[in-house]
Amino acid sequence: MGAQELLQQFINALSLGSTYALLALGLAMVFSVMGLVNFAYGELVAVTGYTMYLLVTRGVSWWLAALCGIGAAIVLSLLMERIAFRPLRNASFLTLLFSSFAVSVIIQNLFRATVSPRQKGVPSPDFLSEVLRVGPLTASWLMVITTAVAAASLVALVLFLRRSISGISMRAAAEDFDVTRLMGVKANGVIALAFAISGLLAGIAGVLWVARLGAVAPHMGFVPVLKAFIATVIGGLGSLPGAVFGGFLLAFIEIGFHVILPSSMQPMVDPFALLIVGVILYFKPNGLFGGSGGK
Amino acid sequence: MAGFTTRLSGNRHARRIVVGSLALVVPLLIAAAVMNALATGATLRLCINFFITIVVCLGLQMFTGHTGIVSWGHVSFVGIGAYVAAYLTVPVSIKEELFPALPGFLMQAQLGLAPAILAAIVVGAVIAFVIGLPMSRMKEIAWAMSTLGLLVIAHGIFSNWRSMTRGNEGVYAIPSNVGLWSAAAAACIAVVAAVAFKHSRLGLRAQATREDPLASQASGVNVTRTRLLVWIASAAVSSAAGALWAQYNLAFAPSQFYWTQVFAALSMIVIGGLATVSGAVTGAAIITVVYEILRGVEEDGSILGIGVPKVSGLAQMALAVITLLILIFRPEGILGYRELEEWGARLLRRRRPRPPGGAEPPPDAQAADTASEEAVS
Repeated sequence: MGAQELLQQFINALSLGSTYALLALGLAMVFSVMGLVNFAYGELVAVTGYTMYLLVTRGVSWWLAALCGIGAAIVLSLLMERIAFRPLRNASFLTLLFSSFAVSVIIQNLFRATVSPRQKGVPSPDFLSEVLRVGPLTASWLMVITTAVAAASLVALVLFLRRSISGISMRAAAEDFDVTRLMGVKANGVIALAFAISGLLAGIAGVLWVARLGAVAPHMGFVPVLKAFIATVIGGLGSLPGAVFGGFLLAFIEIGFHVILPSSMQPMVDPFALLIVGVILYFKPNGLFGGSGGK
Repeated sequence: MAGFTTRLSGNRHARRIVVGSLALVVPLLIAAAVMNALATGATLRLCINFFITIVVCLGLQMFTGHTGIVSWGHVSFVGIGAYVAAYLTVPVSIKEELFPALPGFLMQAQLGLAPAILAAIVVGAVIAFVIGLPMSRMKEIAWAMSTLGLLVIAHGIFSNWRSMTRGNEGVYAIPSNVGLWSAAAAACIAVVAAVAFKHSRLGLRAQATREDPLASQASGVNVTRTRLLVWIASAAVSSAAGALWAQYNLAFAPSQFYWTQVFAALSMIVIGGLATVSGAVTGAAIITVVYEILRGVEEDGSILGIGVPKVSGLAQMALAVITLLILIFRPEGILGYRELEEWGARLLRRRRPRPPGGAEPPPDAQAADTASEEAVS
């Protein structure tokens, strides 16, 4: 394999990794303030997709549909918090995990019952699949936009978390929730904000995801939440930089196996990637950014 | 005096296992007898499936209930058990066509129900031991994460190692070895094993690690080894369940050991109560019945014979709603921390007039309750 192909695969991994990083960040956000691994997170991606499907097929422009999709993800995220997770505040890790499982199944089956159990196409704008050439390297516009949007979102999020009062109280809440409340920060506000940001990130990632797949299906949220979960665990659950790093690392491992494995073994890419993740966890049981103790 | 106390507690220990087993085995056998006399066709199938589901749930409950670590991977052991059963029971002539890569000694094997289950137990335990060695050193969340990895990896192997598993086309031609009574017997054996396990040294140590890993370690419990042993034992039960199920279902595909089954099994033990054997059985019973009724709605558009509009995915959605409501209003499950016989004893005691000066045990305090129960006996 020449240097050129290596660079090409590097670009592919970068684009995939930025989607994973966005997804993982949204999941880590909620975990860091309330200790919940939200398995219904994938349904936020799905609701973005379904909103876009409903609007685009009725003649609304793709861009407006994408914006509405992101809005729908934020609203659904806040609804989940209010209806399902607020009554469970301070419940055990296991209880929270199971309840998010249940929420995920409920929403999936709502899509199945109200829209269709089958896959539905969402046409993306043509230019997204057009190819951009720089010397011998190629990248679709979608890949470029994915990376750029992810980078912009990360920068915006970092600025928000470092500069604004709400951002600082969120970081404090992630550090020690009880002490943060003693400092006069409202618990409901911080947690709702975390869910809103989580919904926003899932919505942005969802638009990119739907543009890549070109279709929606009731179970479409499963792969994103799985990747996000793996990425956050690699990075150390609850660590935001860890989530971003874990997302990129997972993408690089996956693209690596894509390149190495023969075509007959391609379905084994995910299992092999998880095997590597298992090895990482064996040596760093709290994840790469998790420190030695903690949650 | 010390020896006397030990023997006394030993007797009480044995009595608990016997009473705890009987409280579940007797109703199960009565159900089997009633079904044997009355049920035919679909109802009979439902009942046999219920007994097999009990074994599946108990395997998962043994691990997640005792250690407090969620496992996505036990369904994979059900799958391993099913494939082992297929290797050992499918007629030799068909086997050559189904699994060309099967080693010679397996190719010639043709076993019955019990030997196939025993073989599945051994294989499941060995695989669990090998995977468990590195896993047992992990923290709780990392362990849970690796069981998720196990699920995905096992599914990848089941669906891609075509010469050994036939991939997504699935396995067929397994002889029908399971009837109502053999399924009921398997469920009863699993119940007795699970109750005995709960009261065993290992089971008690595991429960201590669930409540507080650090404190239990400080009290001399080897957390790593305890979790590893519980993992192996529970995986063996799950494998047995898989071998049993395969010999009733007669054909299966890798998709039957994946997310839907994981969610169903987790819901059952959560609804009934994670910490108890009776909880797993109760959860299995409730969900089996609810699921069956709602599947009627989904497929034929009728509920108990009354026509209603068809709704796709209704059964699964109802299962999820029930799980969520239970988690919000009764997070410890319907039975909580008490086994059926403990609930029975509690109800009887409440009926009895209060002894003069004796205080009523505080509600929902298990330790106090158990202590008072021991004081009575």
